[in-house]
Amino acid sequence: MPRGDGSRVGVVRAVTLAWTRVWAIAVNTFREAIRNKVLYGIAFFAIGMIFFSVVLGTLSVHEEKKLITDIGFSAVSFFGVIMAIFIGVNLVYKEIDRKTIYAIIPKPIERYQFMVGKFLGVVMTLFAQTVLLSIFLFLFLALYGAPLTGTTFAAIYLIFLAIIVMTAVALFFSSFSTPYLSGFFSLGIFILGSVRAEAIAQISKVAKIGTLYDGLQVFASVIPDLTLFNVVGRVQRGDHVPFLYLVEATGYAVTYAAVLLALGSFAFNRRDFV
Amino acid sequence: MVSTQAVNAGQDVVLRAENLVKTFKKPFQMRSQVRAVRGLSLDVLRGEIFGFVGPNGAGKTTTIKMMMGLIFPTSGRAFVLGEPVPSGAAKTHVGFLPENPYFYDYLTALEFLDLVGRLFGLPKAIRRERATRLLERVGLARARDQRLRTFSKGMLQRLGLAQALVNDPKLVVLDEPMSGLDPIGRKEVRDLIIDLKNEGRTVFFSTHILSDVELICDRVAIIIQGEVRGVGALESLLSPKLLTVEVVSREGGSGTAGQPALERDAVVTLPGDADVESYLKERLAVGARIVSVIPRRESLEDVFVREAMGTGGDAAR
Repeated sequence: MPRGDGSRVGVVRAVTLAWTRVWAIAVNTFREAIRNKVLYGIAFFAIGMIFFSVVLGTLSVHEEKKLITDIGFSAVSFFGVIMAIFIGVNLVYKEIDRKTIYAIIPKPIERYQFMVGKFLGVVMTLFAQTVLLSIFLFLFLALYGAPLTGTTFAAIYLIFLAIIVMTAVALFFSSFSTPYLSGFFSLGIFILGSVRAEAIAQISKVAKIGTLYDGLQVFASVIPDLTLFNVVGRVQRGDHVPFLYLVEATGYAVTYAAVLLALGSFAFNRRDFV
Repeated sequence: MVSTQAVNAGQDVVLRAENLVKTFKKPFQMRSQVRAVRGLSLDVLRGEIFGFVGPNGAGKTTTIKMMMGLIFPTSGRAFVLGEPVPSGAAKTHVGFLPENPYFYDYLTALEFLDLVGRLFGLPKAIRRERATRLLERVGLARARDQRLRTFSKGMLQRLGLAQALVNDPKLVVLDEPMSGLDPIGRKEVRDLIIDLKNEGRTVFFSTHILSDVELICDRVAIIIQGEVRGVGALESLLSPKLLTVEVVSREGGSGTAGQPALERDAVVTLPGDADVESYLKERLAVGARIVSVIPRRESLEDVFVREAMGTGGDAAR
């Protein structure tokens, strides 16, 4: 057999084994999350919010569809992000605090594989939640005659991308910080990310004032642009979301999450589990 | 201080620690440090039961965590079967039971063992077979589908032992495996450790319960304040010198009809170098019966206390 083939087989085997371990952690994280009743509480609260939007919609005159669309999509997005932060910031901390990690790290798994597995497990959980909430939202929208177009589904897809980004943010902070601090930082990033485009526009209007201006520019560029993932206005207007826009948003979300995951894994890799 | 016994060069070393040091920085105190482990070296040989003994805070768990890749040594190295720790090659051969183990609340025992099997890259059929067999072995067969949040401490300890064996390890490292167990549970764990040795595995376990060590260990390392104070077979660590001889003799009347004899025991502890024979003759001469003569040599506890007291000061961690 040529030498190259042998090493290729070795690489394939190593990659398969690495993926098996990542997937094992991901499935375990997903299983743990969906069996935790606290998360069901948050999901039911979100469904309640969507229902509340319907009630509000019936009270408004000629604005039913707009209100239902507005509050409904916001509920899916907001509760998705809250769940992402809630699960994400506790993920690593809980493993160390409850000492479950002591039985995992001594097994032949790399620490970065553990982090990626944890991340995927949370993403799977939040995907299930987003699907569940979206089903309720679509039912209410259909009930009030709002058409389910490609834009409706694109909006939900983009919300899910924002949730992925926020999961990576929360996991990044939790790799080296406490849940309270991580939650505080993540929420801050969420708020700043939601107004980032406006903030940059405002900074641009201000006359350049040297290092402060440059510093703000750098800071703003590090914050994720979550406004990219909000197309509810287009849903309300019935505008089309171009496919290329979805591709670009996907690329942005995946790159941002991957960088944060790599930084989080780097911090986690150096950590002592005392 | 007990001298460190040289390792037999002809035997295989399964676990080696080379001058391990771990220093923890105190939070918010830049210059303040705690040296938990201070240049610890030891070799564990193939097929032996090795006891890692020390008082609470001696550095046992810190050392084990360094050997298991949970914390990084400040300096020094550890090897499992010649493979550096932490590495996938080293981890493949090790089964580890952490101190006071805790596992995922919402998984069942079977699911957890399956997860462990996946991490070792075992095929599904082998995972299933081993999980079932190990749960039977540790007495958890009936609880296999029960969620772990409902497990008692003893059950978690048993599951911890089962998960440490999923990969059919050559080296089993157990951190305080008897802690929190009742006498029956402790005996079961002792029996399991002996079974593991009989299966050809090497067992390294930490404890501060000296009676367990005396019962099952081939060799022992005594760690105090992060330093190994002695390594070797028990008999090599203990002085053969007689410390004391305890003599129990019984004397008293023979009793009358309807009246039981009023007897009393006299317990005398003689120094190790005393003339015991003369004393026994004296007792027999006054009409006493000798009930027992118990010579007492140095125990592991004596060595342990001697070493611990000899250092003074606080334990490291």
